[in-house]
This record gives sequence, structure tokens and C-alpha cells, in this order.
Amino acid sequence: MSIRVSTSTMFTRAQSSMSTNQSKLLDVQQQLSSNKRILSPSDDPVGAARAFTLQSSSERTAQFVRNQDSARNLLDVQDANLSDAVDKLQNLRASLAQVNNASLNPADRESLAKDLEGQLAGLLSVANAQDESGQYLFSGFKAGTAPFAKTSTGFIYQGDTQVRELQVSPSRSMPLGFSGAYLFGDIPTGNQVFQTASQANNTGTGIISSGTVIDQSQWTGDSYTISFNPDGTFNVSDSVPTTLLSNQTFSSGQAISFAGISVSIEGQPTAGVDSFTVSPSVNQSVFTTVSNLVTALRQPVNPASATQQANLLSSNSVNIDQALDRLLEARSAVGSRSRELDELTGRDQAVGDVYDTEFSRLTDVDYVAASTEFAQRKLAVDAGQSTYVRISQMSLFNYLS
Amino acid sequence: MSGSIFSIAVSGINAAQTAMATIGHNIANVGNPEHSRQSAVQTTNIAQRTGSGFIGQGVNVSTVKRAYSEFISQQTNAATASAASASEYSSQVLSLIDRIGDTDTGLSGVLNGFNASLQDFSVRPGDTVTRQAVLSSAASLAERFQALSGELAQQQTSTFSNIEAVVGSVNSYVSNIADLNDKIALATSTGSGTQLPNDLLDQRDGLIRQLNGLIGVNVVNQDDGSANVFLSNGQALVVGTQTTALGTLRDANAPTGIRIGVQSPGGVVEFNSADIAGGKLAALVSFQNNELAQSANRLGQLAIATASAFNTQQQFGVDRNGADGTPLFSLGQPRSLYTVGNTGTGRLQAAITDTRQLTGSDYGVARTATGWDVTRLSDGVVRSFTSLPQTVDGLNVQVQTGTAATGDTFKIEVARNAALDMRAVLSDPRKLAGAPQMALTTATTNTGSALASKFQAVGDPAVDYNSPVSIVFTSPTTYDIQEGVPPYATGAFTPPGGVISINGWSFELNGAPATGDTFTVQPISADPSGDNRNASLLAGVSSAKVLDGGTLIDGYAGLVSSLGNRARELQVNSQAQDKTLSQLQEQEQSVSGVNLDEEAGNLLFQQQAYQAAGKLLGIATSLFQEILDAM
Repeated sequence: MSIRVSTSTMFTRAQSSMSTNQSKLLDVQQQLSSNKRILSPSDDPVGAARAFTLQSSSERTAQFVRNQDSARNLLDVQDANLSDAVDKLQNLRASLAQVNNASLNPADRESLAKDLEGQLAGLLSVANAQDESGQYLFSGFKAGTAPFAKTSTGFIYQGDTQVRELQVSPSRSMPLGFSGAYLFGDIPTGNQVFQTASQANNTGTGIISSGTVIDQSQWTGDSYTISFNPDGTFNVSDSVPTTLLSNQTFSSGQAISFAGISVSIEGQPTAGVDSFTVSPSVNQSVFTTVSNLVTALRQPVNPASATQQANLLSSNSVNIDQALDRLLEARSAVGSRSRELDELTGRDQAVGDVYDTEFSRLTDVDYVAASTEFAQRKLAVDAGQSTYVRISQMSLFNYLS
Repeated sequence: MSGSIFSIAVSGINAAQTAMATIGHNIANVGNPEHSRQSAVQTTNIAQRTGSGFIGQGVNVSTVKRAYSEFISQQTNAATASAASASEYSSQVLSLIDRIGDTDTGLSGVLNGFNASLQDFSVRPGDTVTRQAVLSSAASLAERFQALSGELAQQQTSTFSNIEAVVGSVNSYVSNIADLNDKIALATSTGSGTQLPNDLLDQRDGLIRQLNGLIGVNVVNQDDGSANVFLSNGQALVVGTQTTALGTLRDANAPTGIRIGVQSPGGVVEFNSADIAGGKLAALVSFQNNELAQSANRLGQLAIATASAFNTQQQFGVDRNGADGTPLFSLGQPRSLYTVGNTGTGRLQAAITDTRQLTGSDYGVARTATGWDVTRLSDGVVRSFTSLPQTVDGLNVQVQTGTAATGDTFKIEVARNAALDMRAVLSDPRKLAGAPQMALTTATTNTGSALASKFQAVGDPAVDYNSPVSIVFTSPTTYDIQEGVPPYATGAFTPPGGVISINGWSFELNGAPATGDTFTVQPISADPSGDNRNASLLAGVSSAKVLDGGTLIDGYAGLVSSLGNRARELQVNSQAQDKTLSQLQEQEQSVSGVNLDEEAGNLLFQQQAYQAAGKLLGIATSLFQEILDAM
């Protein structure tokens, strides 16, 4: 037995299916014209919430990429200044090469000293460089304070040893540069382990080398004195003083080894007068080193002081080399940080792309699917309309006359 | 003899006329959804007993009956209530998610923006421009919280007026139903007793159906044709002609706003919200008590977590002038509610004193014989005091007016209004704290492999950023907390790592410390212009797990996704209820609905019956004429 259908059921049924199809058709049309699958969160509440998380993840990754860019820019600025400082130090070293030319007359020395002073000023201006907002680049956290200043007693570092860091990935905090103390201020003297010097009252021509470490484990960090005995032999004693080597025969340029290190003395020290010291390396600023050189150049020239000067120039030239090494080390660190940043950026951009693709898949219209649905819905609406008209015309009353 | 033919013919004509009138009535009411198909019930007249047997005496219409199934009608009533409830519920939740869950107008954009500005700040802590950008984006964040909270408040207001309007409609339906009951009973009693006023019944049943759309009711039909209407909890709305009206209470003290009850001479007697089942009203009440209240609470908790986390870190630092950091955000003040039924006159007041210590939980306060008990509702921790005011978890609780009696209880809602009045309170960019107040140093003489990291501020009640503290290991797993003078407090360390938290800061220690290893935290006083350590920590707050083990964004996404899931569930439920309802409606229509073709057929049939009876009347007349002519 078939179910009895009331006239109103026939109409409401046809109408409701038509209006459902029509509203879906309108939705698809809006999706297609706006290129958005989710027009408002209620269209797909679950998808909208997921889109949210994806958007945040994508933003977070993009933020890291932006941080990496900032870090790269700041490191580039540092690198430009470092490169400038390296050039200046190399010029300085080239100038120093002339000093070793013994034929220099006092006027030449004075002009060289002036040249060094000029370069010192240039180097100081690099160390005190400021960024566009007036913040000092190399004063650590004390960005409002000029890192280096000249006082009556020499050059002092007024910044701190801290370095700003920036989070460039969830687990990597990247230092954005170097402190002035590291770059210019705290340069180990000598060969970084110990430094050599001649006594101020030496009268011979002995010039002590900067020396090398043979066995680090034997180096105690004590200060040692190499003193020449009246018979031309020499003793080596420590600070106690305990004599380590006694009555050694001297030969110019021959290695003198004790406490795990080795030095040599060129020339002829005066027997019974001259002595040399070996002491642990200390930190000295490159500016002090340069001004020491200037002072040495301006010393009056006589045979005794010439040797003295040669010793000073030799030891401070070594210090210049150390300063240069420090800058080159810093530049190479900048280079490797930049490479690391590039790798991080590459990775994060790829991750960001994945998020963005997923986000777009979730929120953007799939044109093929949407167009197909549009065609289907349109067909359904058309069919609904044409059948509705037929149903509505169907009545027994049409035949009653 | 011919007299009998006359009367038979007339009875046929009358019956056909009545039937056609009924059919006409059906046809006329084809568009009336309340109308039940009626039919004239024809019965043969009592036959005349003669010697040659019983001679039929024609027909009469014994009654006009409506096609009605009480069973299907009751089912359809119930389905109407469920479908109306589901559809209203679903549309309310969808509208809620549209208000707060949009990717453009939601929180995530401004949170990300704020984070980006803090990152820039950490790159250039000395730059006024980046500092200003942080303040602007902090203001946008606070404004967005306010806006979202405002959206919720607006939806709450509209839900209130909706509920009031629905209650008003329920009352008018109730009184109309009672009026019709009266008319039906009167019509039934004045009739022969078995004749029912079909159209009045239809009208009343239609009203009951519509009432079900507003509130779920049960109907008990009475013998006199009247119907008694009850709520699902048994509360009578209509008994015969007696009615009971519903009422609403808009009470600022009510935790969820509006309350519903029965109007009585003494005022509105409140229902339990579970007493209302089905219909739009049930949906609105449940929506207001659940999704809406929870969303407002969670948004508030999110605002509290945001303000607390950023303020904690900001207050840990020193600003560009070298002064201690001051809060970045302020929050709306808590609401303090008294319990209806308290015997005392006491009213409490609560105020936020330190955003850093807020937990996001609400608090219950009870007057005891010996003082006051304050219970944190999230975990049930009770703190007892002998008097108020007291400060609990960054809240100052005090008696505002009156005196509370022993046993009186109160509730302090902290989260509800927190977001509604959230503000970014710094206006001077120099006041952003980019540098920390304290620094952690690892002694150079340490021999163990333990590395200290992530030194930062935490929301600890005992904030002390001025006392230097040394953590000195007395064995690889124990340490002294050297602060002030001995004896020192001690702590235990479990390799491979753990967090050491003291005085409002904490740091992570990983590795194997050796006996004698020392980690010192002490105040620093340096030129802070280039120090970005606190700025970096501020920028890190966005990715820190500050809210229920998740980040702020997670908290917001969680709110939206739980609403989304709820909306989806309700949508599916609503579609299913609609389907059930339309099936039942079709069944009901199949019994009671008018089919015009059927009526046309019946009409033709009755017309022929009428014509035939008329012909019979003609024949009877001509028979009579024959006799007259013969005489």
C-alpha cells in the first residue's frame, strides 16, 4: 500500500529541496568568486580552527626568517666595520715593515710615528662606530657609551663584554656580533701564552724572539728571567727565584728551552748586565699596542736605545699580528654565522611553504571540485524547478469543468 | 410509500450536501498547516419494519470527524521541540564562532604582530622606533581582547533579550491555549456530548505545536476535549483553563546572567536550568550557561595569562632609564557575587593587586565561625583567614558593605571580565624593560659539567629581584640556597636536568654538577641601552607554555577549535533532528493532510450522489403526480 501524500507535502518537499540546492549553489558561487573555501568560520568550524593553528605556525616560522634577516643585516654591518679595521691594521703592519729598515733617520721615524698616530685614530673611529640610531656597535650592552676612550693613562674600554643575542630558531640564539673588548681591547700579548721583553737598562744588542710553546703541560704561568753572567753564560730563574738553568753557553739565535717553552736571542747581550724576561701573556688593547709603537719610534736614537727600541718594536709587532688574527677570527665567525643563517632560512622557508600550502589547501577553493559542484548544483536546481512546475500543474480540478 | 421515497431522497441530498460542504472546507483549508482533514461520517437511518421486512430509510451524517492520530501528533510535538532546540543551539554557537573565530578578526593576528614587534625590539633594544612599535602593538592586542570580549558581551545581551522575548511568547501561547480549552469544553458540553469542535481542536493543537518550538511540553488530553500542558519537569502550564506564567530574573549577581522560573505572588520561583528541555528556550538557556559563559571565561583566562606572562617578564627588567619595569597590561576587575540565600547582608569586593600572580581561576569565599575560607576553585586549595581584607594570588579580597553571617558564601569571578577591560598601560617607549634586573653567572671554578640556561622571570608570589642568591652544590644532587645569612635553605637536583626557581625567577640546569659548583644570581646595574636579554625573554613569551601547558596562541586556537567541534556536533544533531521532524510531519500529513486530487474525486462522487438523490426526488414527485393525475 502506498502512503497517502497530502498536497502540502508535495509542495513543501519540492520547495525545500529546491531551496537547499539554491543556497548550496549560492555558497559555491561565493566560494568561486572569493577564492575562499571557508567564507566564515561557521562554514567549517573544525577546518577554521585548524587554519588558525597553521596560520600561527606559519607566522612563527616567518618570524624566525625575519629574525634571521635582522641577524644577517646586523652581522653584515659588523663585518663591514671589521673588514675596515682589518684593512687599517694591515696598512699599519706595512708601515711597521719600514721601521725595521735601520737606515731610517729621526725625521723618517717622526713621520712614521705621525702616520701610525693617524692610523690609530682611524682604528679608534672604527671601534667607536655607531649604527643609524646612534648606538655604539662594539660596546656590548652599554650601547649608549663609546667603547674606547683615551685617558691620561692610556686607552680604556668602557663597554662590557656582553653580546646581544637573537633567537633565530626555536633552539638557537645567535650572537649578533662581538664586544669591543674581544675585538680590540683584550688581545693577548706575545704569542698568547707568554710575552718576552728586554730589561730597560740592557746595553747589548740582544733582541729576544716572541718564542714558542713546546709543551703546554709544563708551562706554569710563572715569570722567568734570563740573566747574563759576567762570564758570558746565562742563567734562567723563576720568580721565587729558583734557578732552572745555570751557566748556559750563549749562542746568538740558539733556542733557550725551559718550562715547556722556547725562546731565542739574536745579537750579543752585554755580559753581566743584560737580562730578559718571559712572563705570562696579558691582555692589551690594540690601541695601547699602537701607541707603544709610536712611543718607541719617538725615542731618541743611540746604539743602546736602538736595541731597546728594536725589542719594543718586535714585541709590539707581534701584538699587532695578534690583533689582526683576532679580527680575522671574528670575521670568519661572522662568515660561519651567516652560512648558518642561510641554512636556517632555507630550512624555515621550506617549512613555512609546507604550512602555507596546507593553509591554502584548507582555506582556498579547489577550483576543479568547486566548479564540478557548481555544475551539479545548477543541474539539481534546474531539475527541481522544471519538475516543480509540472507537479504544481498536476490537479484533478483541471479536468472539472 | 412515496413519502418514504421523498424522505430517503432528501436524506441523500442532505448527506451529499454535508459531505460536499466538508470537502469544500478541506479544499479551502488546503494551505492551513493546522487543519486536519475532515470527513462527514454517513450512517444509514433506522430501517422501517414492515411485514415484508426492513425497508431502508436513507442516510444521515452522524458526525464530522477529523483525521487525527494522537500518537503521531505527540511524537511530532516532541520532535518539533527537539528540532527547534537543536537548530537554535547550532545557530547560536555558529554565530559565536563567527564572532570570535575569524582568522582576520581573531586574536592570532595581533598576537603574532605583538610578538614580531618584540622580536624587533630585541634586535634593537635602544631604538625608540622599535620601542614605540611594541607599545602600539600591545595596545592593538589589548583592544582586540576588548573587542572579542565585547562581541561575547553583545551576544550575551542579545541572548538575554531573546530569552525574555521567548518567555513572553510562551506566556501568551499558554493563555491562548487556556482560552481555547475553555471554548472547546463549552462547545463539547453544549453539544450532544460526542460531537467535538474539530476546528477549535486543530487551532489549539497548532498552538501547542508552536509552543513546543519555544519550550518542550507534554500534553495530556482530557475527555471534554481540553488539553493539559506540562513542562518536562512536571510543572503545569495549562490545566483546563488555569494557567501558570513563566518569568525571568535579570540579576547582576547571577553567575550566568538571566534566570528563569515560575511567576508566583511572591516573585519568580527559579527553575533548575535542567528543568527546561526542548524548544528554543532550552537551547538559549543552555547556550548562555555553557558555551557563552565558558567562552567568556576562557577568553578572560587567556587575557589573564597574556597580561600575567608579559607583565612578569616586563617587571623583571629595567627600562631605558634604569628603573624597574612596570606592568605592560592591566585587566578588568573581578566580579564578586553573593549566593542567593545568604542570611547576612555582607557583600564582598575583589581587586587585582598584582597581575603576575593571577592564576585565572575563580574563587569561592565562605564565612566560617572563626573567619573566612578562600577556596581556589581550579584545584580546591583552601586558605583560611581570621579576617578580611586579605591578598590571595594577586587578588585583594575585602568586605564591601554589610556583615556576613556564618555559612554565607560568595564567589569571585576573576576571568569573566578580565578581557573586557584589558588595557596596555605603558605610554612612554622608554619604559619598556629591555635589560634584566638580575644576571646569572656560572663560577669559573666550577668543575662539573652542568650548564645553566633560560634564566627568566616566573609568576612566583615571592618576587625579590634585589637579593643575590648563590646556588652552591653540596653534593652532585643537593645544593644550598645561599641567600642572606646561614643557615641556608637546601634543594635537591635530579640529573640530567631541572629547573631551579627562587624569588620570582628561575633557570634551567642541565648536566652533572660537581660538589662546590656555584651558580650566582645577582642584581646588575649597568647601562641598559644595548642590553636585549629581557627583550629577548619578552619576545620568547609567545612561544612559552604559559597557559595549561600550551602557548597563548594554543590557548586561543583551543578555544576556537573546541567551539568548532561543538558547532559541528550541534550542526549534525540539528540536521538529524530536522530530518526526524520532517519525516514525522510527512507521516502526520499523510494522516491529516488534505490531498486536493482526493478531495476532487470525493467531490465528484458526492456530486453524483447528490444528482442521483435529486433524480430520486424527481421520480418520487412524478410518482406522486401520476397518482394525482389518476385521481
